[in-house]
Amino acid sequence: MSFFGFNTTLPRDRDHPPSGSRGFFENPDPFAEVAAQALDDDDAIDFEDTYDGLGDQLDDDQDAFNDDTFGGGGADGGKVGRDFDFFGKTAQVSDAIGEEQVRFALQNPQTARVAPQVSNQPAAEPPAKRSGYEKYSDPDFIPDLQAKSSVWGIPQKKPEPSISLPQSRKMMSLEEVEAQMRNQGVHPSHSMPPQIQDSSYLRHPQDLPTLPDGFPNLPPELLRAQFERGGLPPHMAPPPPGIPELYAGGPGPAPPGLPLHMIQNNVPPQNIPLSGPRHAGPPPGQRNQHQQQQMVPPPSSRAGNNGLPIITNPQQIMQLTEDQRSAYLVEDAKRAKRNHKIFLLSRGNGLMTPQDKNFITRIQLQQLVAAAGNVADSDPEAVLAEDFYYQVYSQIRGAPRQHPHQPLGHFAQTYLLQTGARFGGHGNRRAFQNADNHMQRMQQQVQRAVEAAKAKPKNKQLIIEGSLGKISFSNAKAPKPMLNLKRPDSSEGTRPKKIQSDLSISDRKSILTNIEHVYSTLMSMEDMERTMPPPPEDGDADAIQEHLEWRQKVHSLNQQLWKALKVMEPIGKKAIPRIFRHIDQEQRVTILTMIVVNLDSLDVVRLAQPSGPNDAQLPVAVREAIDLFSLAVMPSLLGYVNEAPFNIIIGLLGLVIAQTQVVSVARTKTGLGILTMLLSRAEIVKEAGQASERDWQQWVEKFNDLFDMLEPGLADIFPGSINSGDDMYVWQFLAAVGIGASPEQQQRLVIAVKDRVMETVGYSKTLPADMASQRLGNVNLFMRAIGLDVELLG
Amino acid sequence: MLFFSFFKTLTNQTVTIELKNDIRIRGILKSVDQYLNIKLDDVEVLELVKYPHLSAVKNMFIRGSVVRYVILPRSEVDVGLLEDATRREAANQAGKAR
Amino acid sequence: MADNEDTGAPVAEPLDLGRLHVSITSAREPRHAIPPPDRTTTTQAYDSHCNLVLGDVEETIYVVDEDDETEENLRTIKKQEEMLFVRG
Repeated sequence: MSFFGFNTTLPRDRDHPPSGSRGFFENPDPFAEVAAQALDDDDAIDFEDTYDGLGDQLDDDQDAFNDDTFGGGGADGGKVGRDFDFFGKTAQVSDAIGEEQVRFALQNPQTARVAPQVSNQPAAEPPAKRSGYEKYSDPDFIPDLQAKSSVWGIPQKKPEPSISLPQSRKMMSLEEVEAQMRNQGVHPSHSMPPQIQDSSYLRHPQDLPTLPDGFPNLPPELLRAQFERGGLPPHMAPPPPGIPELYAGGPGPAPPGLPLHMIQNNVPPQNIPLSGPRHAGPPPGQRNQHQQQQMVPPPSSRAGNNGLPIITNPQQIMQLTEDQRSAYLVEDAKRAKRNHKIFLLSRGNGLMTPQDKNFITRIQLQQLVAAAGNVADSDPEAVLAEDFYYQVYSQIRGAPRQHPHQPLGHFAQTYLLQTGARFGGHGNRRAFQNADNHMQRMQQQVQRAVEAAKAKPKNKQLIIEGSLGKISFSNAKAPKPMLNLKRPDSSEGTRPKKIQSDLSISDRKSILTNIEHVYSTLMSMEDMERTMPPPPEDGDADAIQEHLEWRQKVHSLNQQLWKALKVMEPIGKKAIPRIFRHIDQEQRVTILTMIVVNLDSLDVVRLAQPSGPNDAQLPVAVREAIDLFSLAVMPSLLGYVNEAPFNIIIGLLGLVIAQTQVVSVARTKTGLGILTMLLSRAEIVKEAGQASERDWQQWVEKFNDLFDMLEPGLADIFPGSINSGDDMYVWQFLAAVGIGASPEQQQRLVIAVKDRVMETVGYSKTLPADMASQRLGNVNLFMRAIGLDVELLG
Repeated sequence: MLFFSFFKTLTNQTVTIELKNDIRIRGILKSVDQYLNIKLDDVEVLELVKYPHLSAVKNMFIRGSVVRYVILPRSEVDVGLLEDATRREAANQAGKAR
Repeated sequence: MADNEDTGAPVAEPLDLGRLHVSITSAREPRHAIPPPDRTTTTQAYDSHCNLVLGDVEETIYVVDEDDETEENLRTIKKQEEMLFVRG
């Protein structure tokens, strides 16, 4: 049904719009029904192809109150005509109805042919059958109704309707329709005069003073407000941005919505000026005058519309020039297109209540806030725990490093510097939020939601009945469900022991576990270092207490670390430098001692034994391990050895000689490296004159032992064949030996490696200059140590 | 959050991303979120001949779940730190699980 | 990871074991790839989603070309990367 009471057979609907139904949007094509109804009024029309049967439901019995409703028997004494109040809603909707009517007429030439006849004899219709638009049959309006293109003399416009027809199937602005109508020389049935516009009452001031009985004294503003508030179905599109001025006084930012045809009427900017006078409601006495002005568009109002006049009346169109008219039609087409879009969008309107939307927003915000870290998470420790890598990395890389080549394991030092700036930013943000009350409230709300979500983390998602999907409660910290593994109570199961290489899996696992244990202890020590309280000041008992507690903790962790190291066990190589930072001298000696004692069982020595005289290539893994050892472990050991007292050096050398297979140790890079380290330290001590006579005697003894043991194998300590290249460490070792050796020993040394020296010198002649000098330089390390030079061999 | 943290340090580095549909894209990592969704700038699609429809794409947003690999510049990865971060992550997870 | 598969040992706490393999050489098998005997891949990082960062990876892709005579032809493509993130 037409819910604006346009249909005379349902007059009750006029005062009580069917708010329960979806109203205008109930029908996929809002205008089809109107068109059908319009047809229904006209018996002569064959509307079989479009009629939807709604007319059959019309109830003529209800016509009895038509007069009450439309003021038929009102002040004009039963004269049905101009005193009908189509003020407000009726006026709003009528345009669209008119359009649809015309559209139908265009599509059905039969209708078009018949309609003019009807419109020319309005008096023949029984008043009760009509809808109160009879005023249009008043002589005043006859010129409008008879308007035909033949009158205007613009037949060339004829083809237009067929062009615009497909695009205007759904939407056509009033003006467009009117233009088409005239071009066709037809007119819709008398009950659908195109003049019915929202602004039409302004042109018919006599309508206003004679309101229908129901609201005799209501000012137009009131009626209008009522119309806006409740008079329309609530689920319609909000007004497009083009018309806010019209409804500035409407209820809230989202007015209940306007019917599409109303939007259609009001969208064009040229109509907006009308709203001024409409709201202001000029006194009846002036209306006539006002009306006169409206009849001819004032030139001043042309500006806003590409020079087009305000079209409030179809007659105006025919007063326009051809250019203006086509421009006008283009404008209208645009508007119609936009309105159609709005209609499409508005289909989903009302599906979600504001509460629903709030709910979703809260969940989304909750997830976001959980990501950004809420107030509780501004704790630097928590941030560090979540974002460890980034925080530390940016510290390391962000600030220029003092020692670019420092082992990366030392990054822990930089922990001390981190945090600070980042949280300044947080504070600012909070201050901003405090200023913003709304944001604050929102935040609190979200906070509660986050807490609630934390309180019951079991529910990973929520499926609300009737919702379109599930709502996940995952948050940014756990964006997707994690593997949830059951941890058995007893870690000892029946585990088949299978030998893997030379270690059983359980051994391997326990070793790895030990290493991990070392690491976690290390990390907690580094954490401790980071949280070290400032050095206590005098008289500050609390600070001293704090400091003491801290030292206590560090100490206990130190013990823990020490225990975890289980010195006898293989140690993770990379951990060594970090461990060395946390242990005292005594512990360092112990580690060094353990390494030395077990030198030939260390993997880097044990696995590095060349299997044949010319087998230069060790397995990749072993080579990598050796590299790692020399990069990670040696610097620490060297750092210690360089400060170690002489007697420790002597003791260590004694250990090497006594506990290990010196010859095989010497055949490995690692072993030689350690020996070189010890020998060179001894030499430095001697040079510095720090060694006591007794110590030196001891040292020489040990050295002689070592030399005697090494001598037979000296030729074998070089790795592989001569062209393998990587023999610098050997020359370094030989140099270290040579310096400390007696002249007699030096001679023996030269004899032992003479062949290699000669080979290398010969070989280097075949190499490019830079490589050759490098190789010769290596040899020279040794030669110079014993007072010679390769040049002499030249 | 370990990898989120990790990728944050790689912003403005050139990475190559292999998607689960085998497309490989090289570009500058502009940003990453906790789902490991990735925004790439100045993208270059490898084997463009196979994917001509991507020839005009200059930047893109990649949903994290469609990523197979991200090939990283080794020089920009602090391996020791990453291992430590992994230990911490594991400790955190173990702490949560109990 | 590969070590688990090698031994066939039931692993009660896979992620804990994963922890043990951090920085300990292990092998990764993306897309049916088997690590060559001499190349080692290092797990640099992992998380509870089994996202991984691996160092020195060699990926081996096995492609089965099927001829008309239903003769299966196994072809391998190898790719090497220094540092690789693998989406879990």
